[in-house]
Amino acid sequence: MPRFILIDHSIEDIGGHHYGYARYVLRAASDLGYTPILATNRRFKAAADFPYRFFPTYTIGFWPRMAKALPSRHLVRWAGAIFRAWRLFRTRLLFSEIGLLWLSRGEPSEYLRRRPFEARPRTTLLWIAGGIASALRTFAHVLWFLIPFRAYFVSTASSIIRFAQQIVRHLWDAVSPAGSWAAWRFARAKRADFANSTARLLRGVAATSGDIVFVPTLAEPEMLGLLDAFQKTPDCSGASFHLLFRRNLYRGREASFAAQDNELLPVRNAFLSFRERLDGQDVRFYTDTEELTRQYNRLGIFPFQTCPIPHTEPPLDDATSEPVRVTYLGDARAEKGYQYFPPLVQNLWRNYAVQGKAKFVIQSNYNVEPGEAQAVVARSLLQAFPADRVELILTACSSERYRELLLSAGVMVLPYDAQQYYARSSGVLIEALCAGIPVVVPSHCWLSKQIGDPVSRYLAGLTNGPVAKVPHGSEWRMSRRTGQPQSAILDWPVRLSGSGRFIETRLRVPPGQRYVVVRAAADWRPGCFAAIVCEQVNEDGSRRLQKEIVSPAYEGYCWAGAMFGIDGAAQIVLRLANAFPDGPVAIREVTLAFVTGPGAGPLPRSAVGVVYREESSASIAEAVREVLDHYDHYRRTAREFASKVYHRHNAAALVEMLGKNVHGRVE
Amino acid sequence: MIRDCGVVQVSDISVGFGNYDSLSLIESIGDHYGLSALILEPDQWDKPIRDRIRNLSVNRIGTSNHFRSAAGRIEFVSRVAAWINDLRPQVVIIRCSWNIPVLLKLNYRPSLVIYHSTESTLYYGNADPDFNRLAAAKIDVIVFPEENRAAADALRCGFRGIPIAIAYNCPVRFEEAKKTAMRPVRNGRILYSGALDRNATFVDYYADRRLRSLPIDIYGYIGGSDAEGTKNVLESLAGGIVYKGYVDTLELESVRGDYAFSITMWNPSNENQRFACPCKFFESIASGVPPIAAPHPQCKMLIERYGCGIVMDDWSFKSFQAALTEARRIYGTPAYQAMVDGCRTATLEELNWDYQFARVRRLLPPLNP
Repeated sequence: MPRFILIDHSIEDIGGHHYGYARYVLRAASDLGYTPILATNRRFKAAADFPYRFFPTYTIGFWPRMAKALPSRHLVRWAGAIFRAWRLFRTRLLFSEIGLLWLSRGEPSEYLRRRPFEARPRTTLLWIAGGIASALRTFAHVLWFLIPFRAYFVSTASSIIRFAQQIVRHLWDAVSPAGSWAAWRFARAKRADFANSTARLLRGVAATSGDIVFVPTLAEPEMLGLLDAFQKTPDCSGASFHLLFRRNLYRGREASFAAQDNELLPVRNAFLSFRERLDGQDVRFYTDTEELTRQYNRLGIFPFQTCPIPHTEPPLDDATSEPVRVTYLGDARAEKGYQYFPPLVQNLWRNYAVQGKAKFVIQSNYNVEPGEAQAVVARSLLQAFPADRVELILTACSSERYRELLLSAGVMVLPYDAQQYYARSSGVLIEALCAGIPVVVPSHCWLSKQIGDPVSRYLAGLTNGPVAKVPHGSEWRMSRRTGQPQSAILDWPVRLSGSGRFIETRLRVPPGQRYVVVRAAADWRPGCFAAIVCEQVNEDGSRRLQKEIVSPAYEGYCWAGAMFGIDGAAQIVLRLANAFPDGPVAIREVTLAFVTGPGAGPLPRSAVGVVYREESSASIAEAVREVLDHYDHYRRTAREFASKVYHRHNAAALVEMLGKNVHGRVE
Repeated sequence: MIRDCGVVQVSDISVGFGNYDSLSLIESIGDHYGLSALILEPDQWDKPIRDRIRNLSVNRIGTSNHFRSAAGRIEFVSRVAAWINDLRPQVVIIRCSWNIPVLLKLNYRPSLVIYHSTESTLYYGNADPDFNRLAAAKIDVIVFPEENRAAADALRCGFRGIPIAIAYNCPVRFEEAKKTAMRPVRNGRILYSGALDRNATFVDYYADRRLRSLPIDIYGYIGGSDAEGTKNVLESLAGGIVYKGYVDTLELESVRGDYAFSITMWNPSNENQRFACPCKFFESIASGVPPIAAPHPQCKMLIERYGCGIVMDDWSFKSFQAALTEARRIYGTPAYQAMVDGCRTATLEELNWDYQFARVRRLLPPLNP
């Protein structure tokens, strides 16, 4: 029976993301007929009922915090303690009579004049000493001017000082745990450990052709370590190796990638080196998002594929509970938007929490103590709310507890940094979508794209009913800037290129219409998002602006759309642009429909989840409010979408994909 | 001479003339522990000496140099430390970074040290974060008035392991807020009260010809880095914009409720001003006067939460003018009344001292007998 060997050198205990990930994959591998084997960090101690063979092999984990402490840490600690003692002494001296005398050293008589009765006799002795010191200082100045070749001495002395400073800086960089030498040393030690441990592992399990070795968390040091392991164990390197890279190479969006290429030369060289030294081994490369795959394929060295996210489970029967649990899972970090929760809770407090419509469940443990500053402050604010309405999970969860929290969630809020998660995946999001839980996510990043299709379908569905449709084409005009002369659009598609360009139309709102749905089909390239602005003009001439940045959906024909409430507006002005105008986009078609909505109640503006446009607590709160106000709709559409997400993202799909890619079996 | 008190607060200003948040804090701490309270304050000549404010004893500490000078700080810190070492109170409250060196000069460990960090630590110079780092081990609870300042200082000064509370600068007690009636008739004018400094509070905006038709009353103390320039600007005001001088806090309080709107705007040129959380913003809301605020994060967040004012798009003159024009347009309409109602809701629900102090109270340990 072929073996499925999962290597994760960061697994230290039976909790956390790494262990959960491995558990799902190994179970699927077992179900698909492989013999599962887990290779972990040496610190890993499995429970008695752990069902698979495991090898606690690796000494160094993926993260720098898992590095062995440098012996120089004692030196750093002592140096720090001495420096602190010196600073304390200096500060105490400053805030004393001596400090006061020092401040008045330029004018010692002023010290006595201002303190005719307060200055004590012993202080006056100090004052006399200070006066003498001041006179000596002046005399030293005189002497200084008598010295010949002063400039020569000054420049020599300053060169010596600069030299000494440089030495100290380098020494500090060398001994400090946060220094560049420590990072360099960590990468090399990690590579060596990965090489030795993997060689030992491959020998131990006698890996052979047909076996799959899967490394789901790695970077260049591990990759090169694997290469070293191949050389140490030529007999065992006939297995098929599958490497999953989950961290982004580039910052920002596609348009800025070219400018970062030079910085990434070390990464490219690592891949080049790997390619040069491969000796017929079967190695496959993956990421877990299309955006990351594009980034790694840009290196042009190995073909990368996008693999499914495995730690998911099929949706369970609907068991909604009151109050709806507004949930955040993941550790308390600024990158994950934890700091938005105190104002979010406060914004929803009166109308939802107090009235028993919502309860907040927020995982709040720090990934590294004592926590990021923003997270520390946010957690402190959250702890001030009553615990029965704001439940904080202050420690890392076991897999079971995590699953329990996930499945009991009513709304999953993921206020992630859109820049950081432009290409990176979120396991929590996929888990929530698979479980049929409505989500709240930021715009213009990977997260919002995951619900692009159902949102687009929902908006398209709205325009199929009894609506007042507006014919597209002749009413639209193109402009460079708001308020500038516009030219009528005669031919479609319309090509928008350059900053500030948009197309615009002005419409009178038909009586009784409360919403307008805007959909635009275009060649939205990767990294393109649509910015749709709706400006309402009320009867009194006042204006109100609503803006959406939306992810296009990829349903064959590439649509982006948004819905705006226009109740009470006399006219609307709609503008459509490329949200990040760093490349041309050709808009093929725009459809508009005024929608009344059923009955008197408000209409949901999205489906499955809500995308918020602005990284602010008010914007996130508005999105959560939208879900809570139309909870049945969001829950139903999320559940309908769940099976589709699960079909794409599950452990069996991942194992099958790897299996198909094994050398000689590529289809 | 005061010989017996359980709580001592070291203030950086002469108290009782604005900045009531500090008074509220010491009062609440005293009530919480059932201890008598004393405030040690510097000698501000323009503020009359008072022995008691509310139920609090006050002692003014003279210095031979101006209390805001470097030498004055050293003197004040040294004298206050001597006082505290003599009195040995159980609870010490240090107000703002200016006074933090006091902790380094104490010869005993109080049962509880509360640091009320009312200004960003960088506000008093680049050396202050280091003073704070050195004092961190002697602090038990830190109270910040603004979240972003708290995060910045927690990182900069090594405060992440110390319990932190955020208590906004809203000194009005809940009972008092409940009794306060919003004035139904307003004078239709816009109020600016506070520091007047060309470099810090955009005083030049008020002299712009395009604003002359707007009814704005300006109160405040002329100071800052260009006092003469600020004075000249204020003298050049024309049209509906009037500088009414520097008036007593009580006088200002008596007229605030007559105004239609108030203005809150600091130049975001430094951390302290960008993350501004001025008392006057909260006092205005408590009086039912909707603020027109620059997008300082806390002001923006609260106005958006309660719909109790107008937030400018940015700090530019164009945005300022647009916000004032919008204020004038909606004055007297149902939208304005909704803002006034929003002020009341905000005050009763969150922006009152009792609500804010609850965030501090949960961090207060029992005192050793």
